[in-house]
Amino acid sequence: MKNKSLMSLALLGLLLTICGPLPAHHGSASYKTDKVVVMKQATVTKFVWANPHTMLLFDVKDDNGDISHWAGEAGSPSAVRPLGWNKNSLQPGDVITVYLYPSKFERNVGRLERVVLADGTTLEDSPRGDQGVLSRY
Amino acid sequence: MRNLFQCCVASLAGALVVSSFAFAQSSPKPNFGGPEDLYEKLGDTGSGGPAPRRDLTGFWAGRVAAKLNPVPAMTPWGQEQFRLHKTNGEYPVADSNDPIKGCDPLGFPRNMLFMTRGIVFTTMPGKMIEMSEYNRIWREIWTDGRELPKNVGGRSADAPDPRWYGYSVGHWEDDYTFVVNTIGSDERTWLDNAGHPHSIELRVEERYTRVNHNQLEVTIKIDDPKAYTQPFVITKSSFTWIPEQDFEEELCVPSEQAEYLKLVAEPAAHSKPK
Repeated sequence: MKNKSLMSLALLGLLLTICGPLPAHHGSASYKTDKVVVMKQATVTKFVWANPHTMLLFDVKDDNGDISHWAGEAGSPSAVRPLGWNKNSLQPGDVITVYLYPSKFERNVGRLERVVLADGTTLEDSPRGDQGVLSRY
Repeated sequence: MRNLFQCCVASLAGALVVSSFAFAQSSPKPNFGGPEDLYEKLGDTGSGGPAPRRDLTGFWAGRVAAKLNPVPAMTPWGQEQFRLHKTNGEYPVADSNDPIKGCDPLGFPRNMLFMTRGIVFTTMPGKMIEMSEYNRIWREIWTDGRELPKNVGGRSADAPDPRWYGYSVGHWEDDYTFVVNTIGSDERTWLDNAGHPHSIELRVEERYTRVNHNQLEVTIKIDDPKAYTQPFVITKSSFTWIPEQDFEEELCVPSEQAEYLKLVAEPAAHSKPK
């Protein structure tokens, strides 16, 4: 029982960590640009290599075993390809860590800051401070 | 004992949170500062030798968006149009009315101010063709000495209709500077991402100067007396020769954009319905 409680709290700490402040370099009116939510052990359900916004759908399991469905957006393929992404970078079933600027409305959506693959590969999103909203594309 | 256990658990959880916090704060972003576009990735390519005479032919890399100069004072008509424009920066994407939200054409000159990662020049008899990576747009720039059409958007039967990318003529001012004049851009398009408007009276001058083999500069001048109180240079931007003479395919796809709006943009912008 004690071990279970310990594990639960440890998982809680690992699963959802709110960090801040980070540079508000999105220029996005929808997201909290001063906070990054970190979700570990997220499972990719769909990766949409689309214009003008790449989308990542993924599931996160909380310490009760309940699964929540999330959607994160990143820059366009042309914006993130120079950063090492391609159409097959993320596959359904991949277990990843997601860093995401959350919605201001507490919805399960956000702007990706970066994702880290199981092998440690980091895929950074494209926003830049000097371009603001423009670099969303 | 129970309190001690709880204290230990709480301490561990706190340490994990702090640890994660510290990780997120101090961990270097491996790719942050990486290239935002091919222009940045190519970096300084050197001159590549002298510019060829009267030749812009080839694939050129530019920035995602040109750095724009401030616009001058708008006329009352311009101010009213500007007031109606809800930009992606000012509003959540779901609530903006930027035409490109639904993948409508950028139109000219916005296509030379935004999504300028790649452009191409080639020639055909009597015309220069300028193409864009984004949405595979092309513009025909007549070089056979013809004049620009008159009365674009007029009501007479022979009046040409406005076009998303206008009507263009061009000429070589000297061996390295190609000048393009354009009229007739459709008023539904925005001048820029900030939502500045333009009218059918818009006249645009683009001056392309091939500095050397690898560098191309363009200066874009706006003259729209219906929308602005004086002409102005909106940007001076640069393009770099692409060694591979190829670039990405980049299309705004309406079905993909609809999926994005449904799955991400709309939930992100509003509270969950009760």
